[in-house]
Amino acid sequence: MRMFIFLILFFSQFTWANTGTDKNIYRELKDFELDGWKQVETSSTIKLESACGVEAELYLVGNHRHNRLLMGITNGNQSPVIIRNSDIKFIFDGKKERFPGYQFGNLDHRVLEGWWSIQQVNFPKKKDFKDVKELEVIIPVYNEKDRSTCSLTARFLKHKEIKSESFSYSAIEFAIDVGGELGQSGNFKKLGDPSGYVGFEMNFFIRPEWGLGMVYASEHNFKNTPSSKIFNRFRRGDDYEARVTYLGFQYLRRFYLSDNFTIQYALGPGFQTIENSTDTYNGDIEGSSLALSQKLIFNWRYHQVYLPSRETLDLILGAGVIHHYTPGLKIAGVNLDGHRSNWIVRVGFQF
Amino acid sequence: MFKLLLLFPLLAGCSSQLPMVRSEYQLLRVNDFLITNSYVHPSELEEKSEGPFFKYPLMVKNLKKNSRHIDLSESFLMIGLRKIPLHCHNSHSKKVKFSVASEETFSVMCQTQLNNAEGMFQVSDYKALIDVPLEGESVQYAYLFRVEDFQ
Repeated sequence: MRMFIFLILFFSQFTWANTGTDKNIYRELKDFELDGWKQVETSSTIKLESACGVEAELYLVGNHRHNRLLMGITNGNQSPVIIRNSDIKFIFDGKKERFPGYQFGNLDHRVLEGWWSIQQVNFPKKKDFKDVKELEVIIPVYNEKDRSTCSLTARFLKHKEIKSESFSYSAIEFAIDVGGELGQSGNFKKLGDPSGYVGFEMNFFIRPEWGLGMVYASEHNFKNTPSSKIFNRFRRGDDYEARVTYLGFQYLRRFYLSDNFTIQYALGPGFQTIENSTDTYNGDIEGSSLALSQKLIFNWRYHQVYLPSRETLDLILGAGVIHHYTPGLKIAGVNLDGHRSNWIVRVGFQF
Repeated sequence: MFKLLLLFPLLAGCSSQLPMVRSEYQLLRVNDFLITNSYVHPSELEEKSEGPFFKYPLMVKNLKKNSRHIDLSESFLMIGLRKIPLHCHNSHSKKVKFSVASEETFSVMCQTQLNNAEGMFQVSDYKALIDVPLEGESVQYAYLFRVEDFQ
């Protein structure tokens, strides 16, 4: 429940942050303008154009997922004009022609005479920007009165190559892991055999290749078996099942196999607690210690969802292994330090 | 403690206010120049001890097929009935007087230090007017100053 509330609050921040993005042209330019395409004379990607009776200012902006054309248009005609966003043509180095496609946000828009509008149009793929020197943008402008179509053209020149401006990656990741035991060693075996692993993690990638994250995980049903010496203190009839919870931080390294497949390695410290998860024994059975965790996951981006905010959300599936080392964990005076490993399968999403 | 952490995003969200818009985005065509104020911060005004420090960047394109001479020395800011000189220059060359080639795009930075001590702006809000001459004609943008800016 707590995690559910946290997620709602967390995502509400994004909703607020995205509200009115199109209107705040200053914020878009300050935060997202493509540095590699800025001209030295103006320190800007700006292209000011006048054609078809309209005045236009065009910029190249982009975040970690998409590059976009930001365009402000003032209609100086005596009649409304319609800008057909989905028909805008992007020509890379005079060779490769691309259209935005019919995504959310790429809708036609009508500009009344004397009025202005600001629109953003996604480029199809960030990697189209790799190693190109020139980008030509052709915007069809349809005049409602005389039913003619005219084109407004702008040519952008690249100043320098910046990798992040042609490489799309997710910066935020949420995942739920479920799995089971692979093995235990050391004194930890005294606790018995677990039957399940459930984990939740939230990762923030600062660069395409690395990030930082937070993990909450729980392992259930370490049962009181005859071989579990730790439970000799219990009377006959006592039922004891333990639950281990882990809360930790992790450093992540991400390796790209292709657009849709990545391998992720995580390493980090955490805090581990062990407690009784049944009601029939009310003794003081609790312990906690620091722990070290590492994880290797294979991720598959199996679906991409387009959001109304012009962003995309990736749905992911994954599988991998987790290894925990718990030095100094004690319960009821018994040392439980040792190693344990779990297999996991993962479902999650990324922005 | 954990619950308090959960509340933090909510508190941060509720405590933020919608910013006051001082300057509206406008793309203008004046005297065959295309001018935009898209790089002007819509709400923030830099505060210094003597008063607000006013900055207004513009992007300009010469739409004519010939080169033109620009003299920005007569730029001013009109607050109420008070005409205050505005120091404008080409952001790249730092020159106040310069030539622009046909279809050249250039950036202009206009700025001036306003003074709280004069007291005359502390009564009302003012819709100030920024006036920048571009070869015989002027481009004008409105800017909202609040009473609080001068206190």
